Amino acid sequence: MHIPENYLSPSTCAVLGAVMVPIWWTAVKKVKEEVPREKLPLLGIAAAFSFLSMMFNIPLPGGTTGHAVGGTLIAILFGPYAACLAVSVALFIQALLFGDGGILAFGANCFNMAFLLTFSGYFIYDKLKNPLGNFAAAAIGSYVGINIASFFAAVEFGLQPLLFTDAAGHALYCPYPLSISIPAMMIGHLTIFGLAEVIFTVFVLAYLKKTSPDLLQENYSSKGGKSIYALAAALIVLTPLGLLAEGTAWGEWAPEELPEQDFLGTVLGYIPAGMENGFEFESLFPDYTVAGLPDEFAYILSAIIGTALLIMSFKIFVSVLKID
Amino acid sequence: MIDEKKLLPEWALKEENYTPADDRDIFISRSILRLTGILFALKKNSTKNFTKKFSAAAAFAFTFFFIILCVSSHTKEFLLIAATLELIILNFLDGAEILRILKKSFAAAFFGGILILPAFFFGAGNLIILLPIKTFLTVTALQLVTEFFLWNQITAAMKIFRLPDVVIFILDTTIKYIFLLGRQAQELLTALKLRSVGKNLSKEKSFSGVLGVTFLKSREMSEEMYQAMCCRGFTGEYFRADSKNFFAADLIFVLLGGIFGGLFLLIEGVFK
Amino acid sequence: MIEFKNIFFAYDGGEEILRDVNFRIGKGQAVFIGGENGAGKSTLLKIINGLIFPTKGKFFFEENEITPELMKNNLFAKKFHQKIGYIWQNPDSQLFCGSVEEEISFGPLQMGLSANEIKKRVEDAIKLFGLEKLRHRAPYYLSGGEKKKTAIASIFAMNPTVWTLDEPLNELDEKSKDFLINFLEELKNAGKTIIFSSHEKFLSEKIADVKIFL
Repeated sequence: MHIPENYLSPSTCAVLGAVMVPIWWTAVKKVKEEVPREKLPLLGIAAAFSFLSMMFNIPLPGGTTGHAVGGTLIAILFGPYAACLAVSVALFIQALLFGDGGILAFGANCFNMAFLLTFSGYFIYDKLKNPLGNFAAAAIGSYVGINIASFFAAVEFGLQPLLFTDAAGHALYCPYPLSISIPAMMIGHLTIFGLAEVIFTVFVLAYLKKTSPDLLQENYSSKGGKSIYALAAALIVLTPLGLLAEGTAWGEWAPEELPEQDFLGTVLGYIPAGMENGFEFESLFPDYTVAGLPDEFAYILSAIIGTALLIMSFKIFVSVLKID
Repeated sequence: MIDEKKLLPEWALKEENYTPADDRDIFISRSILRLTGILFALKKNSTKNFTKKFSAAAAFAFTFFFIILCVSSHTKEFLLIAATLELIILNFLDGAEILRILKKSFAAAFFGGILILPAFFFGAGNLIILLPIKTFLTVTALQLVTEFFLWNQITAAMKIFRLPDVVIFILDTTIKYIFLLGRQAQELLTALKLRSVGKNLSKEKSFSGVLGVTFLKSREMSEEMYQAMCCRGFTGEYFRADSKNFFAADLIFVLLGGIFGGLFLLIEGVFK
Repeated sequence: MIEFKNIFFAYDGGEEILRDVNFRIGKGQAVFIGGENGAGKSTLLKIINGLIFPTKGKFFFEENEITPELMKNNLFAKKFHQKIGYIWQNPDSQLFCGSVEEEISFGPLQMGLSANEIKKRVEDAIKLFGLEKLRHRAPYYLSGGEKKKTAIASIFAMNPTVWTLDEPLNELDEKSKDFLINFLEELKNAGKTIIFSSHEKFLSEKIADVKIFL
């Protein structure tokens, strides 16, 4: 669900970033007021825990694995404001140090995963935990949370071709309208990733309840009774199901390939992507001149590129030899 | 409780004759692999000598500007020039480092390519082909900053961007604990792997055990850290020492920023 | 049964920790591994457990050269890991179950032993290590020494042929130390191979047949 760079327009990123500013501000304030100062180091540690949670491949029935976001679990354990900050910091480090999710898209990713996911997940957990018990509430909360987040990510993707096109009507950023982006995102999250999130949340809670039951007791008291909100939230999540039918009509677009965007950037490079990308670079460089640039400039440019590429390949060659 | 001589039970005297059953426990190895990658990236503790002449703040500000230009660009000409700059900077690194960066950038661009492939065939226009290239450039740019500077230099640089001290404190502790807790989780997963000698009937249970212990450890670390902070005079407000922020060599970034801003206006404006 | 042939080891691009290490360990021997801090004792134990692989040289276990390729064979790896038990220096690193009892039964359950056999082994291990009162407690909250005993008991229930112990006496009080030495002697009498590192000289004096200094 990490939106990479370039798939949202800079203005979309700016708007979502601007939305996050007051949320962060409130979160910092709330945390300062409500979290006692001996818990301050806990925030960084919660963020580290959230970061690491995303590194875990969760075993799913049938032998596959998936990875969860864990935002709802963090919200249940530390409260939603602390969770919002913690997941934001974790996302920031992922974007900055590990290229997972764009730097410009940071606001958008935080809006989806640090704000929507944690707050909706926690809200539902809080409302349902009295009638249904901790585990059922956590399961529903985490499932709804991750699906609301991915639904909004899909909407953000899907709005791009409506809002940003060039003179010929071609998309400038993410090319897919809502009718494709929503089913593509939701198929994965309603099934495998949603399940991973539920397993993650429930089993870790179960472990903690068994080993240190005090952790879950000391939490906030519920006002109760307002489970109507939970129902409404669940309905919001269920709406994309209606769109799924429309999505299958677009079968030729290989929608099963689309959910793969979730792995973007987290793949540690075992795909020999070099060949696939070659042709695109060639199209940049017909006959060592660049259409649209002055010839001299293009010539110098290609000379620099040529030299640099040569030195680089030599260096890589040497390092590969050394390894063997 | 402990007797002087206690004979082992009879089964322990025999040699175990055991033939394992196969099981799909790839999730353990996969998680170990991902954690190892993270730990390796954070463990890097030497920096390039010549980057000491530059400040991480200036480099980061330039990179941010550079990424905005790349993302907003609609011409392959500008992207080509941007790629040239990255190529030159890449050449300051070792072969192994270059390879690591390129692998990741190509993987990112490859998935970007798959993502837009159907749109490309159905005639979404030529501009769409720039998306994977932009992805490649931005991923490479970020990797370059983090390759040349240490993470603590980068978090310190955040102060220039007016982030509150407490946020920088959270950032610093987060990275520190990603490392400590990550190593803990990695060792637990390895222990789980060593003892996973057959069929695990409740994988979710062992998995949540690993995460649960990691969580409990994180709580303990947090308490200990607070106590240590109190011992050193912490009263609830966190102040960060100022470090020397800018160097003369940082003018290069200003210059580069000017050149790229100018080229962007020229190319995107004239040839669009 | 275990042989190191001209083994060198360095972590990714770092300095060489092991330099041309050679030895051969026979079945049923007790081997002491000595050396200063950072001499590579833990590294050597990790190589024996097939967790890391020498950068140069060969490591043989029961006539098989242990290589990354061989360890990718899931069935071989599982059999190998069953035969070698590893006690980590810090027991926090190896306890991940919800209670002491679960911790001990984890290995036998994995091995698919019969319910009766598992029950017997768990009871024997709990009794042997005096963990009766702790059996339902979460290992995480135990004291250092209790954790260590739980870790050893959990490996004991798998009945490995080779025991590798990294600083087994750390965190144990005098009484528990005596008990552990006794336990290791018993293992040795039962024909198990024991490989351990320790700072404490008397442990090596007492049970080691072979001493290796790094």
